[in-house]
Amino acid sequence: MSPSPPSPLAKFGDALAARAALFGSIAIVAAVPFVVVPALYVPTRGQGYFLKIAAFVALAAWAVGRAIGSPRRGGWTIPQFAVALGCGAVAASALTAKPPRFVLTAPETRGLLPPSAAYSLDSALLPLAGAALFVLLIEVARTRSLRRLFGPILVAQAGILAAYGLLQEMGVEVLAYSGNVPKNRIIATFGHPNFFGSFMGPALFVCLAFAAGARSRAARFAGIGAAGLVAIALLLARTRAVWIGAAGGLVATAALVALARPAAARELLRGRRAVLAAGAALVALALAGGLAGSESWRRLARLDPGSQWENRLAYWRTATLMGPTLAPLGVGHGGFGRAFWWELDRLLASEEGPLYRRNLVALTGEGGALDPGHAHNDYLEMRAESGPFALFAHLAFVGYLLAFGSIAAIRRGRAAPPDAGEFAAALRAIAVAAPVGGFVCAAIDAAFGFPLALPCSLVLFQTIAATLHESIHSPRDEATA
Amino acid sequence: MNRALLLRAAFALLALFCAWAAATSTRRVRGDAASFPLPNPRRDTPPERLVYLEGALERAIRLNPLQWEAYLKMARVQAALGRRDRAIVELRKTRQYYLAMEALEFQARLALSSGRHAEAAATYGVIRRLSVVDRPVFRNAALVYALAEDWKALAEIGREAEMRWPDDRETLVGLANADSATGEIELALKRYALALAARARRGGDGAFSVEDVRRNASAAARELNFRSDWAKAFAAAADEGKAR
Repeated sequence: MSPSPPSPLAKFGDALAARAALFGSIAIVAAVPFVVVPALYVPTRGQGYFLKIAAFVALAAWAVGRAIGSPRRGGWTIPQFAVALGCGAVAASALTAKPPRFVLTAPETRGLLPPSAAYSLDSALLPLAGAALFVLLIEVARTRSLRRLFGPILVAQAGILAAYGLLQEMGVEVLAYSGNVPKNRIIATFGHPNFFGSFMGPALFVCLAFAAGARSRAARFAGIGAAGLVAIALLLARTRAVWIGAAGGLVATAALVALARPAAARELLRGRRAVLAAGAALVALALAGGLAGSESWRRLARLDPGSQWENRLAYWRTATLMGPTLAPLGVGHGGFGRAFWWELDRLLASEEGPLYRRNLVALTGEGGALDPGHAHNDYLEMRAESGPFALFAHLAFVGYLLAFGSIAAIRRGRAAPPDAGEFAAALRAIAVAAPVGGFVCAAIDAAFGFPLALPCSLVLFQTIAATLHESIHSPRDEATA
Repeated sequence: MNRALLLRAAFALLALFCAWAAATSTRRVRGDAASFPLPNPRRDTPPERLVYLEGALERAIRLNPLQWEAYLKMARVQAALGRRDRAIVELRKTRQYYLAMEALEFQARLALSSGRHAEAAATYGVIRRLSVVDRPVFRNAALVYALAEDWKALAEIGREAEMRWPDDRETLVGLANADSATGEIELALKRYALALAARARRGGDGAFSVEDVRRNASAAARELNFRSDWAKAFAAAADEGKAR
């Protein structure tokens, strides 16, 4: 029995789902970093609102399309299961979030307060919007190559924002940011050098992949130019977590290229081009120094890694203390900041106390801003806020995409056309391996900061994740973009 | 057939959730944007402007009740309108979201200016409970505890501050005040003398004038009848200071 042709309603549903996914994801990926509302407290807030509204409107349209469209065959992939489990865990922890327990709650004001579940659910909308974007991107990948669609957009974005960051370093600022945003530092439109780094680290690898996979000379130069700007800006932004992440990403990329094309890797290392590339990197470094003046280098030398480690340790330790008492659902999304003081108070009273007491003023910020907001480790924060199921789902998502994305990159790196030379083959291997490097960079950065809680880096993370998913499950773009 | 129907129902539910989430986010952004272009109410803002701001903030909080800055700003507006009690109620709401130091200190100052010293001291007790002691907070707390005549709290916070900044004049003077109030006159005298020495090293008067400190120290020395070595040393140093 042959299947009956789809009804006009089903056709409309299919078209609606496809269009909503396409236009929604393009709008989100292209626009989020450029949403700047200077009146708002910090730029990330406006970017978060935009991401949430755009993602939920697009996903609502997509879901309506799927509800009335023709049914599809085929099951879910592991990342799709992981996203569903993660969303469920985050929502469950938010809905069961209890009112804050700390000593300050004055009895006479309890009736005036909104319930904590509302606060937590509101806060959880950002990661849910990130998951919505992933769903939309997977839908787009059914008919188009994500790499070809989003590569040029992301490279242009990274180049423009890195150039803007360098201008800021030189004292040029065109946006009237609020008093809460650090000035005269490389922040572009992200609001903080670390947020800038969390976006630019993975973006560096997107630029490298674009440059290596470019077909025209102009596109290759554009990719190399953007990557150079990003690298210089990252260096001057003094974002050490991203330096570690980028180093890890580069090692991963190099390892994948070497595994896919050992001969090509040797060729790359031996040839004149390697000398040229090293020379270009040195010139770029010298330019960076001249561009920003010696002040940047002096500031680099003044960094005090010791106290910063102590900060991180205090955040991480409080995050680990939050878990066991509140398992399996955590304190509720967005609850780390509220539970922090409760746990820190206990920590200070314990025998570990002196370790953290020395650094209290630094912990709480110079102006005495009391809420660290984030555990500065997305994995620990996920466990503390949304419980071990959410962490498990996230690790499964990242682990699967990294492992199978690497295998796909090696496989595709080996499948060069027979007439191509070793250099072209090596470039091709870099083009398919670099997104894995970008994902490694984001995963490492997440252990020191909170890139998944920032709209721009969350969007980039999901875009790279969807690209890896595409390379594993629908590797149609055998020829690179 | 049933499975397909279930799937359609699930997608419809997802669409409903997304519509709710998008609508909520839109409400929040409207509330957020409305609450921010605020002038500083501490600078003689005209009353009609304050009333307008109060209305704008009320609307913003209705649209987005989950933002501590709006409550803090509402408290500022209420304080500028002369409604201190209402301002304190607004400030207390901020604590649920972020333990903003600014809000806590503002609350303490409001209580202080209303003559409710015990409440101000209790608010600084909250800050202390959080173990967050930096110099400006310590100074304000010391002042508030002194006004509330809570010498025990003052001595306690002072000891904590002394561990961090053994050279800080304000810390020493605050501690000395607490010591003299609790009868530890000799200790008080020692700290007054150390504070004067720190002042001589660094120059400037700081929060306490050098004359006040001298006067207190002389009183303490008199009370001790110049019995102790510290009293004698202090008297000698004071004479030397006068001669110079």
